[in-house]
Amino acid sequence: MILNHKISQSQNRMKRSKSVRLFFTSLILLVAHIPIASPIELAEQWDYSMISEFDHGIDLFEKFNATSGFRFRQSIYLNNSRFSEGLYAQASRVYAGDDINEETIEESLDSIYNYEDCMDFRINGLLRMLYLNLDTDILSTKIKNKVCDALGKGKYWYTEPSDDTAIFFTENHQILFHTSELLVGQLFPNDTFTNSGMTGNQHVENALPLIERWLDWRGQLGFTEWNSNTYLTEDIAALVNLVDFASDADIVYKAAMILDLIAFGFANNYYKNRYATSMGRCYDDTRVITSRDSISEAAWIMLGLGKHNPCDNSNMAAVALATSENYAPPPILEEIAENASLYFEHKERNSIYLEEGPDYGIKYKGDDLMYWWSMAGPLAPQTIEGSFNLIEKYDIDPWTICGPQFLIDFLKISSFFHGMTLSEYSETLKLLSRGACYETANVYTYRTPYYQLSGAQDHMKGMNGFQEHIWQASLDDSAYVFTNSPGGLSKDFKQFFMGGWKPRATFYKNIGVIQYDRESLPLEGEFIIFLLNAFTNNKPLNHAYFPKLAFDDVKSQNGWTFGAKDDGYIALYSYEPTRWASDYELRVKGFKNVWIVELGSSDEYDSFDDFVSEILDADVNIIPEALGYDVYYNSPSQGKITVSWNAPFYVDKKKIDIGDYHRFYNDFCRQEFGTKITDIRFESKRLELNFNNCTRYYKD
Amino acid sequence: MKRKESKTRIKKSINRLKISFQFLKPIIKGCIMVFIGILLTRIGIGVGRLTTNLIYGTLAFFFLAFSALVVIEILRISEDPSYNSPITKKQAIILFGVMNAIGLCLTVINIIVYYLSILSLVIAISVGVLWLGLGLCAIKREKNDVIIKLITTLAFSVGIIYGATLNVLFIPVYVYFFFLTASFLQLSRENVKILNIGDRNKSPKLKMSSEERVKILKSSLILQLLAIVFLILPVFTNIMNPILYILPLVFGLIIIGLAAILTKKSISNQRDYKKLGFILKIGILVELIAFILAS
Repeated sequence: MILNHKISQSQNRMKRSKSVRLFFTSLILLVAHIPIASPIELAEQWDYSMISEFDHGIDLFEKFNATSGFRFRQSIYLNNSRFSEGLYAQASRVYAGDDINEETIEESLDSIYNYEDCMDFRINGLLRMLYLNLDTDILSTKIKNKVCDALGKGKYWYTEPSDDTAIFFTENHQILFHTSELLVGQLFPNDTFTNSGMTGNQHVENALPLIERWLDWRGQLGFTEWNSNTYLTEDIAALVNLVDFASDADIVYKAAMILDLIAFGFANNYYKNRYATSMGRCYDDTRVITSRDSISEAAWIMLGLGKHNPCDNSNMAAVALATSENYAPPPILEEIAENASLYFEHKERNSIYLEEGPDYGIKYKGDDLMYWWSMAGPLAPQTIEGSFNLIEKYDIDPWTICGPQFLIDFLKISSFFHGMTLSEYSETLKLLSRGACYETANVYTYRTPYYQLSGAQDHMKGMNGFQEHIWQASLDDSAYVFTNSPGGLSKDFKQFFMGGWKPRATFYKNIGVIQYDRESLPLEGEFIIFLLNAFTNNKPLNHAYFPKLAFDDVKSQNGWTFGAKDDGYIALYSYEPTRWASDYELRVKGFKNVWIVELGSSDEYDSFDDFVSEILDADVNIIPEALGYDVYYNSPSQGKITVSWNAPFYVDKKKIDIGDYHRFYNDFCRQEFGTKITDIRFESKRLELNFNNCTRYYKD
Repeated sequence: MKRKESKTRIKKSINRLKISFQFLKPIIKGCIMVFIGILLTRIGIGVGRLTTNLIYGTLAFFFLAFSALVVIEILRISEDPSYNSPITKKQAIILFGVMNAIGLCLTVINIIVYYLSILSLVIAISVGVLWLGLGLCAIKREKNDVIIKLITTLAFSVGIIYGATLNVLFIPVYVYFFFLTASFLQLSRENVKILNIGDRNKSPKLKMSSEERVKILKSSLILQLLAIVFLILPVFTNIMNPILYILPLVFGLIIIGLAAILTKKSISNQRDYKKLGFILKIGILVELIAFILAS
C-alpha cells in the first residue's frame, strides 16, 4: 500500500513537471515569434519633410556616350532584377515603376534601428530606392514613413552617441556610412535626426569632407582591400549612389573616376569569368568550390566581362549600376577589357607601407586613424597608442576594431612588464600586429589565352593576416590553384583557405615560387597563437587548393601535381610530402614548405604528357635555411630560377622586379605610385582621371 | 593477503620510479637547458627550424647527458666494490658508448637533413670526449667526488651551449654567462649535497672531517658569489628582454645571497645543510625562470 502511494505520488510529480515544462515551452515559442522591437523603433514616428525632387544637373556624358553594350547589359539585368524579392532589387522595381515587396523592406529596418553591423549596406539600398522614387513615386506612404523613420533615427558615424555593434572602420564600411550620411542629409535637409541631434544640412556638411578624403585616398593610393571580390561590390554600390545622387560636383566626378579605376582593375585582372587575381580581403566561400564572385554581375554590366547569372538578381552593386542614368564606364575600358583578354602582363600597386604615412600627409592619430583602421592597422606599432586613445575617447566597442577589451588590457600590461612603450611592444609582436594590416600589395598578373598567373609579390612574408588571398593560377573559372597556410588571426577564426600565414611569393610570367615560413614571436605571442590554434582546432599545415574534378586530367609524381584543362596545363611542386585531404585539398604537415608552380599550354608543348615529362626532367634543388629556403629550379620554359627568403628573384640570371611597382604599369597605363593622375590610352582613345583638379577627360 | 601483495608491488614500483626519476633528473634539467639555449638564439630563425631543433636537439642531448650519468655510475662502481649498481662495469661502459653514439647520430642527422652548421656536432663530440676524459681522470685518483660533481653539473649546464649552437654559429655572450651561472650554482649545490650525505650518514668510515667540511663550504661560497656575478652580467648585454629578466634576477639574487650568508655562517657553526640545499634548489629554479624570461 505504501509502495502504491509512493508510485502514485511520483506519477503526480511527473505529471506536474510535464505541465510546467509544457507551459514554459509554449511561453518560449510564443515569445520567440513576437518580434521584439527596439526602444528606438517603438518611439514615435519621426517627423520629416523629404525633398520632393532631385537632379544634380551634372552631365557625365559630355565627352562620351555609354556603349550600346553597357546599356544592353543594364536593361538585361534590370529586367531580371525586377522579379526578385531581394532587398536591393526593390530599387530596380521602383526604377521600373513596379510594385515593391514591402515585407522585405520592413525586415531590413531592424538592423538600422538596432545599430547593427552592415546596417550601412541596407541604408544605401534604401536610399537608392527613395531617391529613385522621387521620379517614379511608387512607394506607398506607409512604407515611406517606415523607411524614413528608420533613417531619421539612424546612426551614421562612430562619433554619434548610442551603443552599437556596427563596424564603421573598414574601407568599404567607411564609404557606405559617409554616403549614407550625405544622401540622407540631402533628402531631409531641414529635419533633425534623433540620434545625432543634427539637421540634414549639418549631416551633409559633416559627410562631404569625409567622402572627399576617402575618394582622394583611393584615387592616389588605391584600395587597401585591394581587388576584393566581395567588398568591391559594396564600394561600387556606394560610389554609384554618389554619382547619381550627390549634389556636390566634385564628389560626383571623383566617385565616377573611382568607378572607372575599379573597371580598369577588372579589365586588368579578369580571366574567363573570374576575378582571378590576388585580393586583400576574400572569403573561403568565394574561392573554394565556387565559380562566381560577388562582383561578377558588376564586372559583366560594366565591361561585359564574364557571364551574367540570372539568379544573382539582387546584387547591391549590379542593381545600382543597372538603375543608374549617370554612370557608365568610358568606352575605352570595354575595349581594353576585350583587347587584353588574350596576352597581357600587368603590374599594379595598391596601398602604402605603415612608415609612409607622413609622405602622404596621413598622421597616426586623431581622425587620420581612419586610413590605418581601414587597412586593419589599429594595433600596428605606429598607430596602437592613437587607436587606444580614440577607442577610449568615443567609448568604441573594441570588438569592432581589434578584439576584446581583454586584449587591450593584456597589451598594456605586457608592455609595462617588458619595460616598453605600446609601440615598441607592438613591434615585437609585428607578425600579428603589423601582419593584420593591408599594407602595400604589388600585384603581378600574367595572362595568355590558356592560363593566368596573378599574385602579390613578396607581400609581408612570414606575417599573419585575416583574409588575404595571395596568389592564384587559373586555367578557367573553376580550374584554378592556389596555396595557403591557415592559422592565427584568420577572419572570424573560420577561414581555412584565406588569410593565415603569408608566404614569400615571387612570380614571373608563368612561374611562381611560394615559400612558407615565419620567425618566432615573444613567448606570449607564441602562446596567443597556440591558444588561437587550439580554439580553432588549427594544426600547423599548409595546403594547396587543387580541385581535381575541375580538371580534365590530374597526375602526381615526384612531388609534382599536374593538371590539364582544355589547352592549359599546370604543374605544382611541393618540397614537403603532400597528401590529398579531399578532392580539392592537397595538404602538407607543418609551417614550413616551398611550392613551385609552372603553367604551360598546347602552344608550347605537344601534349599534356609532354609537359609532364619536361617538368619531371627539370632539376629542382631546394636547401632549407634557418628561414625559408634556397630554391634552384631549372624551368623548361624560363630557364634557371633562383630565389630564397630574402634574396632577389632571378630568372635566367635576370633579376626580376618584384616591387614596389607603379600604381599601374601595363600597355595601357604607366602611372607612378602616389600621383593623382591616371592616364589610360588605347589606340587613339584616351581617358585621363585627374584627382588634382577633379576632371574626367575623355578623348575618342 | 592478495591486497597486501599488490600494495607491496605498488610500493616497489613507486620506489623504482622514484629512483629512475632521481637518475633522470639531471638529464631532464639538461634538456630544459637545451630548450633555453634554442629560445635565447631564435632571432631570425624560422619556426620550422626551431621546431626541428627543439625535437632533435633535446633528444640528442638526452642521450649525451645520459652517457654522462653512466660515467658517474662507472666511477661509483670503480670507487666502491660494494656499491649496489643495477649494471656491471662492463655493461656500463657499453651503455656509455651506445648512449653517446645515439646522441651523436641524432646530431648528425639533424645537421644533414636540415643543413645546420657543424658547430653542434663539435659540441656533441666535445661533450662525449669530456665525459670520457673526466672519467679516466677520476679512475686514476682515489676520490672521485669532485669529478662526479663536475660531470653532474656539466650534464645539466652544457645543454644551453648545445642548444644555442643548433641555431647560430656565433653564440651571444649572455649565453655563456647563463652557462657559467648555471654551472657555478649547480656545483655549489652538489657540494652541499655531499655535506648533507656526510652529515646524515653516521658511519665513521664515511664521516667527514671538519677541515674537509670547511673546505667544501668555502668553495661553495665562492661558487655562489661567482654565480651572483654572472647572473648580473647579462643585464649589460643585449638580451632580448632585459626588464623581464630583471624581475626574477632580483628574486634570484636574494635567494642566492641568502644561501651565501647561510654558507658563510655554516663555516663557523654546523648548520642544517638540508635547508641550504633547498635554498640553492630554489635559486636554480629562479635562475631557469630568469633565463626563459630573458628570451
